[in-house]
Amino acid sequence: MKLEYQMQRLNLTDIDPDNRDFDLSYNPDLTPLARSIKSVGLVYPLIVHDELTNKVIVDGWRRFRVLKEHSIRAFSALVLTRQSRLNLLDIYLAVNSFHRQFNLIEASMIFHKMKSKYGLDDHYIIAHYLKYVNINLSPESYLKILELSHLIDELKKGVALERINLSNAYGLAQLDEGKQSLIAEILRDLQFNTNKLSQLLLYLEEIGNRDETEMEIILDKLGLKTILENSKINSNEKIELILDGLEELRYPHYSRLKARVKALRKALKLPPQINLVTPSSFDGNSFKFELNFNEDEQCRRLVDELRKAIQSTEFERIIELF
Amino acid sequence: MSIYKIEKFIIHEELKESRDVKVILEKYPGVPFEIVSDAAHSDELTLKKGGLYFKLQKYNGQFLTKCPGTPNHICCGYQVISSVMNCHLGCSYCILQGYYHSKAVTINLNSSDLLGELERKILPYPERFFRIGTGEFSDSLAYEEIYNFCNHLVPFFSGQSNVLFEIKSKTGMVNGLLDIEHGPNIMVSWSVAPESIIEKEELFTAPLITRLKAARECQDAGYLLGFHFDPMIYYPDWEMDYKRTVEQIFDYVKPSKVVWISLGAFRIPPHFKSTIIKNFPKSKIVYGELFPGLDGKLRYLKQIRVELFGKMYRWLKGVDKNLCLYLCMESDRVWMKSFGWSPGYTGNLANILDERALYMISNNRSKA
Repeated sequence: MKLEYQMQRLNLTDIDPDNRDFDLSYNPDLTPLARSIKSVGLVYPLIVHDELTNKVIVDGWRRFRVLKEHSIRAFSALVLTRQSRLNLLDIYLAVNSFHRQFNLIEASMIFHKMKSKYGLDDHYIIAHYLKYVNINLSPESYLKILELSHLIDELKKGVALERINLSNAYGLAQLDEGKQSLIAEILRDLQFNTNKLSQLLLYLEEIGNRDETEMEIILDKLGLKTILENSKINSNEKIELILDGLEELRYPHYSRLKARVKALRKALKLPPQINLVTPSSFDGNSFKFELNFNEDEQCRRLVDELRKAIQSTEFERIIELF
Repeated sequence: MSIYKIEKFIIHEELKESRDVKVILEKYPGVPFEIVSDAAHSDELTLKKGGLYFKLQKYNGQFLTKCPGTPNHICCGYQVISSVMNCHLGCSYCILQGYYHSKAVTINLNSSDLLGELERKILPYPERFFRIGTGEFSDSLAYEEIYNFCNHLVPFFSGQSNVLFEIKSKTGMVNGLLDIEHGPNIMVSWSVAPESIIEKEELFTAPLITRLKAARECQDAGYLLGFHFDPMIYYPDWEMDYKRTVEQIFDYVKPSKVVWISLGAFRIPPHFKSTIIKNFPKSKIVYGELFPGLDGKLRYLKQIRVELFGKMYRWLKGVDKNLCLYLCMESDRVWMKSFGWSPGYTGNLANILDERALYMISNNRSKA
């Protein structure tokens, strides 16, 4: 590859803002960069390609955004000429991989571009670019990484900022944009941990498949809007309400039974030091009582309470439910 | 008439000179074949455009094995013959998808070895009773047009008074059976389900009515009958559909000819859920209320199973209180809650079914 270039002083208006072929960096937080540019100026010049009528940014989209935001009109740039698009992509990769690893969202966007824009096939990309883009990527992970390019921006941001783990990100990438937007709306207000987010996605997927219902309708049925707008409960309580509601829709018999057992347990009035352990998922016949005590007298009192409890109709009804 | 297109025969080289292979190839002159040194490992074969690959091989393993049952549940102590392995009938719930990754159907052609093994395992034990079937690893009748195992097994078992031999199918392909001389201890069974389930979940099987007409033909030919509602599927209209299915069965057959009817609810190993979703994306069965049971398999919530079995028990006993019903792989507690009694343990269920089989064979003998 022969590089023809020269350093030039450019103006913001020289740049084609609509050509985002190389807008592949994904680090949504521009604050540190803005602080640096404001205090010491632009240290690394942008790399642009001269396209006769205007210039296309090859490297420096984030810097360009900061310059624009702060109305810094003139800046230095390395201007390349007569390069093919694929050469320019290689330059972008070389410049960036020199000082950092691409994150997975960037990797997905780069691979997607290579496939859709430059027609490179999967084998070629794996052989020539995989490790270049991110040393930790394996050929087996390539197709999954590629799927992440289907995420909407807001979810990409969640992945890049590690608020959404990879396995959930893959699940989200399978959804259409409308469904992704609905989930993004929930995640905007509530911080689901990994397990809870995967539970949420699984419930929505399974209820949707079972009932052939759109996600929007399921969330309406759940009363999502009311839950999100309820100012009397905190985020964690909202998450619990959402998951409990979805569990009820996904497993109606199970939820009813669970509620009955909960009510019967309450009526049993066991002290907190006595715990009745029931078979999981209402299957099996192995029940257990756990007693916590500090001294013999307390133990005797608990045993008396236990004796009373096991003679009650509530206890009989609990056992009957399993 | 064949219900499938045969794409190719893969023949184990040890069998290339066998008479059975020659007969098969003559029967299907247009079907290509390939001789291979290791038929067991030609697993790259896939189902193409509805056509099927058949592996014709010499089986070196044990043909007769015990049904493995499942831990912590009461099982029936059945024994199964591996004459044909794999099945193309396309049932979404079928565990064979997990057993056989190749979609080729394997026919173990060394039937003389099979009969030799059966002689060794059965003849020395006249005091023991055996319930044996071929419908575990494949459909017992679907591939009989290629190789007629019943021609070997029915005469063999007809001579064994301490065996009940069960042929189990979801097809109506009984023509081959009707002409075979058989004893009173040969039973033909059908796995049955409401027509709506058959349409959605058993893609290439025979409609219910076809199965029931075949059952009537077998009844008229002197065979004992059996029915298996397994797996039962729970869905909003299940009650109406299953009740109707019970009625339909006895529109066609006499209760007095039915040795037993088994009931089992849909159950799968947890990892198998994704296999069903992948192979049958339109199926909704995995979205039932399934939870890990005592054996770790995903099963319907116990209360749902009890509802399924309890109602079926009442409907079936309402037809004839003498019908023998049993649950496949269920716990003592589910037996008690559904049927009001329980065999208590596997050995006892096996005894009950042995006695029932003997009683039915004896009745069938006296009517012959």
